[in-house]
Amino acid sequence: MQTPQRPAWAGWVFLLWTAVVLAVYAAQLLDNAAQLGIRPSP
Amino acid sequence: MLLSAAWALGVLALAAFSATGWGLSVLRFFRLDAAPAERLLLAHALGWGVLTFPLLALGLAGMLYPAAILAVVGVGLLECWAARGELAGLAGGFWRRGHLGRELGQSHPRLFRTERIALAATGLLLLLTLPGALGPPAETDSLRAELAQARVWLEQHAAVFVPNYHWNQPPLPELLFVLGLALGPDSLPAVIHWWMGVLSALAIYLLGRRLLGGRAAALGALVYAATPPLVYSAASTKQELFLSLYGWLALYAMLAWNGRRERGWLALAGLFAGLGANSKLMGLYTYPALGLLLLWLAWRRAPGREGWAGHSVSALVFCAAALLPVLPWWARNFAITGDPLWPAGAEVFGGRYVTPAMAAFLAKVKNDFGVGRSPGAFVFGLWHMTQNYAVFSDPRTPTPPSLLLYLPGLALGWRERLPAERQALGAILFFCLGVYTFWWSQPQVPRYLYPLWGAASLACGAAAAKLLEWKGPARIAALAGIGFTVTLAAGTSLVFNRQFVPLFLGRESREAYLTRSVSYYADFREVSHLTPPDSRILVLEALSLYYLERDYLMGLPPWEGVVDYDGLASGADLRAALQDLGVTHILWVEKTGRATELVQQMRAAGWLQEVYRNPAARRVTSRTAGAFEPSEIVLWAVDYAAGEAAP
Repeated sequence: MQTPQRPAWAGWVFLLWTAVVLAVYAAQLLDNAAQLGIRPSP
Repeated sequence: MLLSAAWALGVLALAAFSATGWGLSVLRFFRLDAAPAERLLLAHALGWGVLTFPLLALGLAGMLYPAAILAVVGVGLLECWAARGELAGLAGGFWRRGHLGRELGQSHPRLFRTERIALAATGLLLLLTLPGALGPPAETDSLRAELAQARVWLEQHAAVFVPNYHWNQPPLPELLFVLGLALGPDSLPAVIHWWMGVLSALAIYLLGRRLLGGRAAALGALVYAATPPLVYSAASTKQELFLSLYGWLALYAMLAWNGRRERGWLALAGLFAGLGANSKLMGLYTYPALGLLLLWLAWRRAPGREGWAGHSVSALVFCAAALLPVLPWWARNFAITGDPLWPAGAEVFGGRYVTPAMAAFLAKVKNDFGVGRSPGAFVFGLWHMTQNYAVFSDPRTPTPPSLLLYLPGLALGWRERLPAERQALGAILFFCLGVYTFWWSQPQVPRYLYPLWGAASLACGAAAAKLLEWKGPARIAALAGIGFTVTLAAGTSLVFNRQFVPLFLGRESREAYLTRSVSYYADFREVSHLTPPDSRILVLEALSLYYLERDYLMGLPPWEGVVDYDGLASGADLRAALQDLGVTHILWVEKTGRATELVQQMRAAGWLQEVYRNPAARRVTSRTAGAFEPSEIVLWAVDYAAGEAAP
């Protein structure tokens, strides 16, 4: 099977994207949880 | 509780076989070249929808008795029994891999290890959500909307129209909830809804693997199952999981039509879209999305093969099939109110039973959620919806980050994909963009996007599967994303479902659980004891109606079309209106507004006699945390014999 040509930088860009998305998301999650004081059901 | 759970799961199994019987008998009319697993799944999912049409007929004819519902289930079981040979063949092929799959399994065992792990995690996440469904009904929306309405339909043996904003949704889930209440414990409706989530995950895997391979499909099912909104939905009698199932099946059938050139698939796509629209109005978002996809696919086909006449017939087949499931309900609504979508179509159709307060609410609710409708907000909508989810619905239900993470990840390795994969993913993204666009013009609540959730999850699964093939940072990122979303969903599920543990262990009674978890539960029990059985109560509250054991009218503006409080001049007018409606009691909960003013005028005139008062009733704000706020609740008997002197 032929090995596909993959640009090395693309993987790093996706890792950076993941880190940014998850960091912002986690901050928001903690902030909301703190404001609610709990994690209740709707 | 354990007995009740076993009963619910047993009846679910019977209803599932019955649905398969109904589905197989309808699917025979379609000439489809479908594999066994495909046919069995399509028949089963179709059957749940088909099953509701005889129930709707019974409801419209005023014959919605448990015996009649049992007969409908029985017919499906007989059909299932008659087709047992076919069924055995289909079931035999259910998990069998194709020839290509076996070869790949021998040469690339790691691919299959990922697939198995993803499937096991999906199953575990779905099982974690089951206790909430098996517990006593306690979810706020269900108790005021679906379950309350299903109970009234069952008690009155008819699909009666009540001008309550929450009570006239498309009837497919509602009728299955009636079936659940008629044949099982009152947890069965939620268990049926949970099963739609299981079916959605199964459909993403079994059908998705035909388009994009087993690993992508298994990861797609995992992405679907790993969402906090699903944790709450699966434990309630909502409609979203019907939307995800039928939205994905409609798209799949259209892709199958494109690949196999049989118009039966197109008719099936239309039927599934119609069943989605018959589940919740948001199912209608798939109509324009699939219609545009149909045009796009027809345009991309080899020129001259079918010609415009052929394309026109295809479009007609799709449209006719999509309209067929929704017409009976729309016709019923039109006959009663003049608005086929009551109350959602009030702006266009006008219609009866829409008070000015309700019309104002309908106009306002469209803009209550989201970050506006500017072009920038449209382009960055997915970012906002994920990273600022509190303004889109509720700070308690996070939108999972999976779509935002993985949809851009599809660009990586795009050129490595086979042309058929690229075409399938292109169509999926086209469909998702179409649904998203129409969702954008309506109330921007993330769970209303469920018609595209199955397809989008599969696209995410395809992206994740490709990224896992890469070495180094892309692979690490993919694993981190999966780990985060699965942990988030499992954590949400564990925190939410732990409240049911004492119930299942027998350490807490059902009554005790409901008293602490359902607003006004104890007061409603008291009200039922204190009023004669033939009472009719005007309830100035919309919570927990399911547990009110008396005939009632929900009279809380702006959600009711019974009394136009703003149009009444005094308490005397309200008394006259209530007398016409046959109201004997008023159940009032601490509220301000015109309705309260009029009630206070009636009280001052001596027309109301206090029957019950609790100044510290329990209004539950979080059953998970056991949080509540005290609230006053009063029951008055209306005295129509007292003098007419106005206050």
